[in-house]
Order: sequence, then structure tokens, then C-alpha cells
Amino acid sequence: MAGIGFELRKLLRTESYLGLLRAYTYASIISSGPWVFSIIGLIAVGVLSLGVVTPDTLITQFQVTVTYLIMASLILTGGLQLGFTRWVADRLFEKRKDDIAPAYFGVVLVTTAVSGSLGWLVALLGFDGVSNLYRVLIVVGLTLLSNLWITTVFLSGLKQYRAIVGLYALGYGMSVLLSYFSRPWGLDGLLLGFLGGQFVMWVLMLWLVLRNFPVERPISLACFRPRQMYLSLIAGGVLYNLGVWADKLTFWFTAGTSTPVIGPLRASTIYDLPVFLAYLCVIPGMGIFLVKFETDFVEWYDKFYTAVREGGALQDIARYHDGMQGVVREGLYQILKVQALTLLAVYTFVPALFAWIGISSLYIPLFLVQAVAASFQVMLLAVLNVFYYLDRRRDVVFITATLTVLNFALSAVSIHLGPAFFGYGFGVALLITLILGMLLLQRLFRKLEYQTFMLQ
Amino acid sequence: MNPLFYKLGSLIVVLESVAAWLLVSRNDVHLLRFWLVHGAAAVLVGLLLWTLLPEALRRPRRLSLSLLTLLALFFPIIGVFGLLIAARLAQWLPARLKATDHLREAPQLQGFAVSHVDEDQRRALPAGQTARIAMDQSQPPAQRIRAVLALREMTPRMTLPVLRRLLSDPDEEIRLLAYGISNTWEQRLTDTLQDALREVDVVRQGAGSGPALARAAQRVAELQMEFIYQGLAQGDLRDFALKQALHYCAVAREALPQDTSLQLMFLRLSLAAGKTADARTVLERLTSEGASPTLWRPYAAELEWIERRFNRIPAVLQPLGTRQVAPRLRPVVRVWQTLATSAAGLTMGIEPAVPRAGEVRAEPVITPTPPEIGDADRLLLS
Amino acid sequence: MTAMSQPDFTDTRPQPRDDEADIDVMLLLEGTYPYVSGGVSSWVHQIVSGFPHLRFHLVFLGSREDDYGKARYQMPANVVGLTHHYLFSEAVLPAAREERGDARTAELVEQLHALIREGKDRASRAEVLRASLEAMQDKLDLHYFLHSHQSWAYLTEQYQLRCTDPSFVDYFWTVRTMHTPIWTLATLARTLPRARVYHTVSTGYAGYLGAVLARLYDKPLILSEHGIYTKERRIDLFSANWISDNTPVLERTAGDAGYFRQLWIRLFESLGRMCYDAADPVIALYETNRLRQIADGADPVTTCCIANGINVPPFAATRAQRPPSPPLVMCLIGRVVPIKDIKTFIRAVRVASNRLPGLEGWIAGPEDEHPEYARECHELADSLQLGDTLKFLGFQRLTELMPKVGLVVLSSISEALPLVMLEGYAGGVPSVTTDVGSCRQLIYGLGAEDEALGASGAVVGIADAQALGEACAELLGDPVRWQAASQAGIARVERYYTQPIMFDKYRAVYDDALQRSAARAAGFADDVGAVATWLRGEPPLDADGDGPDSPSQPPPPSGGGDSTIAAAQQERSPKVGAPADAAEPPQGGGSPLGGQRGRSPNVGAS
Repeated sequence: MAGIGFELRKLLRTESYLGLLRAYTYASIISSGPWVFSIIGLIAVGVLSLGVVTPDTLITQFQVTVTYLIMASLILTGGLQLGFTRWVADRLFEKRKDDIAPAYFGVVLVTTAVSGSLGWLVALLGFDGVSNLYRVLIVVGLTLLSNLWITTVFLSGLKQYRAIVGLYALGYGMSVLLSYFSRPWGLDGLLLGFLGGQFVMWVLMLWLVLRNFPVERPISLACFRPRQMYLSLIAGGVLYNLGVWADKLTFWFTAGTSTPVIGPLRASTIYDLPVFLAYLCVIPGMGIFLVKFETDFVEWYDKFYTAVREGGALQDIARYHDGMQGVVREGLYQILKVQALTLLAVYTFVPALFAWIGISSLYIPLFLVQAVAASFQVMLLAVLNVFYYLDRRRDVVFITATLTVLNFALSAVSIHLGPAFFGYGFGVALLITLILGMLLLQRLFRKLEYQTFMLQ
Repeated sequence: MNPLFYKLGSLIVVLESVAAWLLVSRNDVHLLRFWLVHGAAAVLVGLLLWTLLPEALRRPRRLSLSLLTLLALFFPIIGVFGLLIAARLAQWLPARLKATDHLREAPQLQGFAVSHVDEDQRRALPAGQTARIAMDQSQPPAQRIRAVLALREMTPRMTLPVLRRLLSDPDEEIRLLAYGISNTWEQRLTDTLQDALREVDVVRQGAGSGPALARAAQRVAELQMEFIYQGLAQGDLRDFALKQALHYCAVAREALPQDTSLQLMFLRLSLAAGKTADARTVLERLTSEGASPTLWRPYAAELEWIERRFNRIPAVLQPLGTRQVAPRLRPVVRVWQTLATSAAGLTMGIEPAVPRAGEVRAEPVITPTPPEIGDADRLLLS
Repeated sequence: MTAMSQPDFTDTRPQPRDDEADIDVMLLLEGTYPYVSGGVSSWVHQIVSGFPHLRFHLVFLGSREDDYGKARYQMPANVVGLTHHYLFSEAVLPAAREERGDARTAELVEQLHALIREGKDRASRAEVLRASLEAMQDKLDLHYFLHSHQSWAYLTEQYQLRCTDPSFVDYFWTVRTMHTPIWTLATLARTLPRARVYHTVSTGYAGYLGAVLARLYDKPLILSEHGIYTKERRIDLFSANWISDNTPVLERTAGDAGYFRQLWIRLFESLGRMCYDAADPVIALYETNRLRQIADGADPVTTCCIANGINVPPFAATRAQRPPSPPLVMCLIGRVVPIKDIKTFIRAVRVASNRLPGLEGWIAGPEDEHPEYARECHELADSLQLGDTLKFLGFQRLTELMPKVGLVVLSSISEALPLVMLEGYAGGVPSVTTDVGSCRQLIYGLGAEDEALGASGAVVGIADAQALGEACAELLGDPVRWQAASQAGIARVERYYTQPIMFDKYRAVYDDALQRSAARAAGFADDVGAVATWLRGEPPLDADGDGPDSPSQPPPPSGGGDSTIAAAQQERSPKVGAPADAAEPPQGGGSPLGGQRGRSPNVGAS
């Protein structure tokens, strides 16, 4: 854990509150950067295109298209992201660095082929009457974004957080810039510009990959051979992404709450905006997540497993176990505290804020509920992270499956119950899953040494 | 550049332009035609770029071709270039390994729980008694075994005599333990010796002479001496080791004639082997070269001792000040020096002090009784 | 002397199978025949070949499957079966599954361990075996040991209480590795075909298996110990690098053997005692070993000595091919392995050839068992500049080699009763050896009669190359002395160490065991140590006899053939006299047999 942990720890060692604030801000930026930039980027394009791109519906179409592209590519590649990153980690452990770059290109090949074909099919069949350029662009978009996620997760698995943040900033910046110049071509132009920026980002990421893993052999499908990647990890990855988007999908494809936008794509005017804005409220929580769960926890985890494997005394093993458990408890608690504070502030200031930006105050209740739900999501992410480290893949699948099922079901229920209950579906589903996860985690910690040793 | 390359290139450009034109419509059929044309172009682009790849990156063939084709297909025009740009960038700006990177991975101190197991105290071996306990057959076997195991921690020189005696102990376990310990030491030294011998061979085949050969041969000689010093070579084998040491010392001296340490080594070895003539030659050479008397006087004294010219020893040792001599040697030197001063009228001749059978010579006034040079001093002088 | 009271094992005994081939003797072999070549394996081969009318079933206990190649011996036709079991292979382990574990079982485990630690007598050990065998059928199975929470709790508790080595993972794996064979062998015992007699060739795990089999099926167990297993393992463990010692340097007290070594040693000692308890007779090769067995816990009444015997005639025939004066060749016949201490021999060749020009040293043995050591030996020979004085011959046929050799030299640091010495004697070649095992007894003789035959060589201390070389040079340089030693050797081997003598004794042992087996099946109890006492040459234990109503001693062993139950019952009467056949019981206090001086009544009658 060289790199980020080291710097964070350096910052955290300061005694002053200002220093601490700096450390956590840094951590927040690092951990939330990517998706914050994407949200802001989309909004920026929209704002900049007002007045130039007419009618306004084109802008909405653009934003909805990109959202769907992001969602589809996330769900499609969710499994492979986790599976491949784990495969890479295993190879690094075995000191077989040379196998990684060829495998990466193999993954690029498969991803491109699969997402490309899928996109091609959907574009052909689902988008009658839309311009051909658009239809080609969504194919390109799906493929590009799929590759992008895989590369991002791969790089974050290598702890290249700062590089990722930098590249995302650059990429979305380019997207905004290029869209600005291609505005005159309407929807197609916006899409073209946006994807152009994303492409630049991908190329630079490729450079980062090749930098760290020089290519000896060009390409290999080694990681796709049977039993090379863990099926449970793949399932977990897919289910997590599906679970998180489930409520949005429910709202989009229920007649009462949504409207068609372009082709088969629908959007929900009441639901979308507050949901995406709510995610901006979890930035502090993500900062804590990074500090506690990717840094402190990993330290204790390393100590624990070194003591287990290399002859530590039982008392030491117990001590490190307690350390791990302590960090998890502390981390969850801190996320809760910080998010509570944030939400309190948001609650106080949101009416004024919305009024200033120009968003209707009708969105506020849903926005607040969603903000709480998003906080739960961060905690769930932390819990899942612990399970990933302790290699409890089946537990992960169980939790994410629960989330998916509950999210679909409870969102449907909330729609049925009426507007006052919108958003609670997501929130309650997350809460239940979170509690479930924490209970499983508690049980896991109780039996950790027993399972590590006796059930080899 | 291959003319085929240009033809292919222009074909691709034509195809892509057609494809682009097909895009400007909303017709399904046109879309399909676009994909067809673009697809064909993509295949050609893939092929073209594949031929431009360096040989190493072309295999496996199908996979790399597919990758390039797919990239060209799904990222029209710019797709493949993106890949090439990334590759070039990586070549030009590879990851820099910062010099401070290793500082981030500070070594972790292992914290072990220290256990205080007090009940072990009564089983501990009393200080200074280890060898005695090991050899005492009336002790309980467990205690004896513990004592023998404790001998591992001491230097071979001190413990090998004990171990050798234990080799004929009635208890087989003690015998085997003693054997195991001495065997391990001997093996270690032999391994080092083998390495040194190989080193000499290598140097001989390489440079052949000069300081490198001298050092390598000196090392071998030292190791042979180590065998003797530690007591690992006995009897005939000791003689053999001594011979080997002399041989390699001679090789070293040949390669580096001026080296004083080599001369001294040769001196010691000659004295140990009883080659007094050689020893005398070296001593004379050392004196003539003006080597420090602290170095050679004790050996000269020993030479006189070996040749039984006891009355010459005081003269040899007289010039040595007490400070110049190793502490263990001081009493010896002092004795001989007092002998020199107190023995008035001592005839200092070249005749031996002790009469040999059949010899006639003058009676000395005082027959100095040579002090016993104990084992320790012998070894010190050796 | 009443029959030893035995705890009842009948409820733990599995049902017999009808389709079993008839097995007379089941041999339990740990790490020897037929996959490892060496003295013990040759002996096993001799025995099996020497009793063609007996059906043998072999059980080979190895460490891991990959450690062994193909069989090194051609098994004779009377070997009706061969079972393999690998003690440390993972194939025998059950799949990992979480389990709580029984509280009562946990208590039982505590009690058993307490018994093992504190109980010092035979009765408590027998109780431990019985209780554990019973429990292993029930809840205390391997799965419980390997995977249950109770087991984990017990393990961690014991670690805190007793382990002086900080490494938990090493403690965990040591305990696991040590104990697993206890279960797998108990399971194996139940699946093995039934035999009339069980014969184990070492203590250790094979001895444990033997004890389990003997107890389960109430059959006699014979133990023929060549080397003392526990002692050899102790030596191994002292030099073993694979047993880690993690005590930090500052904490280590010189003289500690490491906690894990002690654990292993204690385990082997326990297993050894269990085997001694169950075995009757307990056979050693020579008197010193027999005394060691008694010191290690064997019942003196059951101990006896049967020395190795060789087939003399082929070697006797080579005497005619010898040159008139002894060849100046000192030859070490044995594998090039550290325990033979070839290096001392090589140094001795250097010493001897200094004194006796023209002397050659030969090493006749395969070098492939320990290539590293063989390489070191070659290097040593080079560094001593021996050149052609020392020759590495590889494997040689002894009947061809013997006429060319002047002395059989053994520089081993540990031996039992080396057959090569006897083979040398038979070929008229004296021996110069180190003072290990029974070598002194073989060279100078044991007992007045044997000593009167003269010295057939010389004995020196171990690792003493100077003395060994000098002794060889002296003996080879003095043809008169050499001749005397040669004659002494011939006389000695022909009188005490021939194959027929050994076979006679083992015939007696097997006959007695088979009879006892039949008798027990019919419900009769038998006396402890009867045949061992006979072999020792002492008067039978029941000489004054009990009343006719008490279960009496079996008749003296009848020679040859298998005894059926009917025959046994017919012969069954107190104080029956000598049967018609070969091996005769001692007349009165008669000719001394067994430990002191093994002599079959047959020899000397010719």
C-alpha cells in the first residue's frame, strides 16, 4: 500500500485540526473524484448547451443517453471488473508481473467484442427513426465506457488513485470542451464531443497501464480459462451494480413515473435529479471510507495475515484481529457521524441552495431521503470492502443479491404507495442490506481465526 | 514503404468516407450498409496495422488481429490510433522509479509476545559446567543431552576435544549428537574450503597471476590452517592440511613476493611443520627488509626454542618493550628478559645449552632452566 | 502366571468379511520394504522368501505418495497382498466443513490427554487405547479433530498453557500433522483384511498400527526391532531443519531442543510404549538393543534376541577364488549416505595409504540416494588428492566383489547388525568397523565361547579416521594376523549367524504365534512371554505349573506348517512334551538360547 496510504498517513499525523481537515479533504477528493466529475460534467454540458442546442429536449436526450450508457456499461462489466482485478492481485502476489499486460489486452478484446455486439444489436433494433450517427455513437459509447470502467478499477486496484482523479478531471474537462465546440450539431454533436473526451481519457489510462506493465507478449486470454477467475466475484460485481441502479430502473420503466426520451430510453422527471444530486452529499463519507477502510484496515489486515502465516504468537494474532475489528467499528461509526453532520447542514441549507440554482423546492423531500440512502450506500460499500479483503465471496454475493431483490421490490412498493414514499424504497433496501451485512461481519469476526486455520 | 501499403491505405480511406456518408440518414438499411462498409474497412485497418507491429507483438496471431480489428470497428478512425499513441507514450515516458520509493516500504519490526516461562529456570545449565556435565556419565541423560546441545553455541576450538571424547561415550544418543555437531562444523568449513579452491581455479584460468591469485591462494591456506587450529584435522590429516597450506602459501608468495603477511604466514607454517631452514631464511629476509620487530621476534624466539638454542632466546626477546607484545605473551617475554639480565656471565655462544650425547663443551656458569611454555603460549606463538 | 487382564475390545471390533483370502502373517512396514532399499528391507525379503508356506500380506506405510518410486524388490509368490497407506498425504483427509463438536467429546479428549501425561503404567495406557478406539468410531473422529470448534478451543488452550515456542501456525500444523495418522491408521486397521498374526518391523506409526490391530482382533503381535525407532527419530529431529524453532534469539537457552522437537519425541515415545505393551515377543537384534527396549518400557519377559543370519554357502564358495595373500584393498560396502559416514572412510584411506603403499580403498554402493552427499564425498577425495587410491565402484555383486577385497570396513555412525560384515566373514574377509550397534560383539565375540574363537577384525571409535586408517593398515600389513582374523570370522558366522539359525528361531516364533492366534479364537487365554523366555534360554515361567484347571501355557512351539485349530486343540494339554518335529525345547536348563548366544539345537548336531 505504497502511494496513497503513505501520503494520507503523513497528512493525518498533523496535530492541528486544519491538518486533519486537509487530510480528509484530500481523501474525499481522491475517492469521490471520478463520479463527482461525471455528474458535474454532465450538468456542465447541459448548462453550456442551453440556448445553442435547440430544442431543449435534445439536451435532455443527451443527458439521458449518457446516463443509460453509464448504467449499462457498469452493469455489464461489473463482474469482470472485480474478477479481473482479483486475478491481477493474485498474479502480483505470485510475482508474475509479465502475465498481466497481455491478460489486460485480452480483457479489452472480450469487453469490446461483447459490449460492441450488444450495443450494435440494441442500436439496430431499439432505435428506429433515430439518426444513424446517433446509433453508431451509442455503440461506440457503450464499448468505450465498458473499457473505461475496467481500466479504472484495474488502476484503482493498483492504488493509482491520484492518477485516476487527475485523468477523470482531464477527461471530463475535455468532454465538456469538445461538446462546447460540437454543439452546433445538436444531439449527435454533443454525444460526439462527450465521447471524444472520454476517448482521450481512455488513451491516457492505457498509457498508465503500459507504463507500469511493459508489454512482452501482446495479448492472451489466460484469465478467461476455466477457474481462473472467481465466479462468485463476478456475480458479486454484477449484482452490486444492478442493485444500486435497481431503483432508478424501476422508476424509469414504470409508466406512471416516467416519460420516453429517445428510442426505448425513458427518464423520470421526479426521480432523477434529486437522486443524482444526493450523491454529491456523500463526498465526506467517501473520504472517511478511503482513510479508514483502504488504509487503516489494510494495515491491520496485513499484520493479521502476516502473523498467521509467518509464525506470530496467538496473542499477537488476537491483537491484530481486535485491531481490524476496531477499525471497522470506528470507520462505520465515523462515516455515520460525518454523514449525519453533512445531512444536517444540507437540510438546513438546501432550500436556499435549490432556490439559488433554480431547482424547484418540490424536489427537496426526495432529495433528503436520497441523501440518507446514499449515506447508507457508503457504509455498505465499506462493509463489502471488508468482505472482499477477507475473501468471503459467498457472503458478498448474498449481500448484493439481497440488495438487488430488495431494491427492485421496495421501489415498486414505494411507487405503488404514492409520491410521499418515493425514495424510501431505495433507502429501506439499503438499510436492511446494511444491517444484514453488519451482522454477517460480526459473525465472521467471531469465527475468523477458527475459519482461517481449521477450515483451510 | 510497401506500395501495397499505400494501395490498402487509400482503399481504407475510400471505404470510410463511404461509410461516413451513409451515416447521414435515419434509414435502417443505410445503417446496416454502414456497418458492412465500415466493417470491411476495419478488417483492412486491422490487417494493415498488424503488419506494422514489431515481430514480437504479432503472436498470438488470431487474437492480436481480432483486437486491432475490433478496436478499429468500434472506435471508428481514431480507435486504433489511440492504442498506438498510448503505446508510444509508454515507450517514451516509462514509469519512473523514484529513488525514495523504497523508503515508503519501511521494514516492519516483528513484535513477538515474550513468554516468561519460569519453570525452565531449574532446568538451566549452571554456568561453566557444561562440558563437565556432558562428560559425566552419572548425570541423568536428559541433562547430559541438554549439555551437549549447549556445546553447539560455543566455539569449535574449545569444544571439539570434549566432543571427541564423547564420540566414544557408551550412550549412543550422546555419541550421535556429538558426531552431528562436529560434523556440521566440519562440513561448513569444508564447504568454505571448496569454494576457496574453486576460486583459485577460476583465478588461475582467468588472470593467472598477481594479487588476485595471491589473495585466493592465501584464503585457501588460511582455511587449511583453520582446520588445524580448530582441531578438525588430526594426525595424518593434520599433516596433510599443513602440507596443503604450505603449498598454497608458496603459490601466494610467488604471486606476491613483497607481501609481509604472506611471509609471516609462511614463517608460522614452516615452524609448525618443523622446517627450520625455511623459517630461518624467511626470518633473515624479514630482518633485512626492516620489518617491525614486534612481528618477527617472537617467531625467532620460537625457532631458537625448536632448535634448542635456549641461551639465544633472551637476546632475541630483549629488545621488545612490554607494550609491544600481546598481553598473553608478556609474562613469557618478561621471564626471558630477566633471565638475560640476571644471568651474569652467561655464555652466549652458538653451542646448544643442553649437551647432546657425545659432545664436549664448556660448562656454563648458570644453566638457565627454560621456563615452560604452556600449551596456550605455544598456540599463541604458532 | 495369569493371562494379562485385557480391557474388552469386542464392542469396537468390525465384523469379519467372508471373502477374505487366508492370511497368516500381516507385515507392517514403515518406510522400508519394498520401496526403500537397505538392511531392513533385505531382511524382510529374506524372511518372506524363507517361509514359502506362509501367506504374507504387506502393509506399506509411507510419508507421501510422491516420495517413493517403483518397488526395489521382486516380491515372492507367497506375498498375497500389498496395501499402501501414506501417513502425511492429503488424500486421506475429509473435506473441510464447519462443526460445533460435542461437549462430552471435548471432555473425553481432556481426560485422555491427562491419562497420557500422568499415567505411567500399562493399565492406564491400555485404557487410553481402548477408550480412544471406541471414541474414534463415534464422535471423536478425524473430522472432529480437524474441523470442530471444540477442537480449536482445546488447541488454543493447550497452546497458551504449554507451548514455549511463539509461532502459533507452526504449533497448529505440528499438532495436526502428528495426530492425523492416529486416526487414519485406526481407520485403516478396520479396513485391512484379517490375519492370524501381525508382525511389525518397527515401533512408531507401524507399531501403533500393530497395537491397534492386535487389540481390535485379539491376535498376537510380533515386534522385530532393527534400529530403535524412537532413538533414530530423536537423532533425526535433532538435526532436522524442517522443524522450526522460532524462539527469538535472546530468549533461547542453549541446550533447548525446541518445543516442536520435544512434541514429536514425546509422541514417538508414547507410540513406542503402546507397541511394546501390545507385542509379544519383542525381538531385538542384539543384546544392547534388547536392554534399550526394556529401558524404553518393554516388559522384560517378552523381550528376546534373534540375530540376523545370512546365506553362507554362496560366500563360502568365493573363498576358493581368493589369492594366497590378502589383497591390499579396504572396502566399504554400503550406500553413500551420511549415516555410513563415508567421509571418515575416505580420510582413513588417506591415512592408511600413507602407511601402506599400494593400498587401495573401494566404496561399493549406490550413490543415488543422497546425491548432495555423494558429491561432497567426491570433492573430499579430490581435496585429499587420493586419485586412483580411492575408487567409487557403485553397486556391486558381493559374491564377485568379495574375493578381491582384503577388509570389509564400516565407518557408520549407527548400525544394528550389519549383514555385510557377516557376508564378509563368510567369504573369509575380516572387518574393521566403528564401535556401533553390535559390531563389537561381531568382531570380538559375545560370551566366553564366542570370544574364544578370536578377534575377526578390529573396532575403532566413530569419526576417528586416524585410528581407522591405522587399524586397516596394520591388519592388511600383517598377513599372519589377517589370516587368524579371517579364520575367526568364518568360524563365528558359521556357528552363530547363518540363515538356517535365524529361520529356525523365526519358525518357532511364527508357530507359537499362529498357535496362540488359533487358541484365542477358540477362547483360550495364553501366557505372556512364553516363546521369548524360551528364546532367551531361560526356564519356562510356569515351570512349577498351575493346576490343570487354570489356563496353562501353550505347548512348546512345534516346527513347520500351519497349525489349525483342531491340531492346537488336540495338542492342548498341560505340560505336553516335545513334539516330533525339528525345533526342540531346551532340555532342562540346557543349552543357552536367545539373547546371549543364539544357537539353534540343529547346528552342532551335524
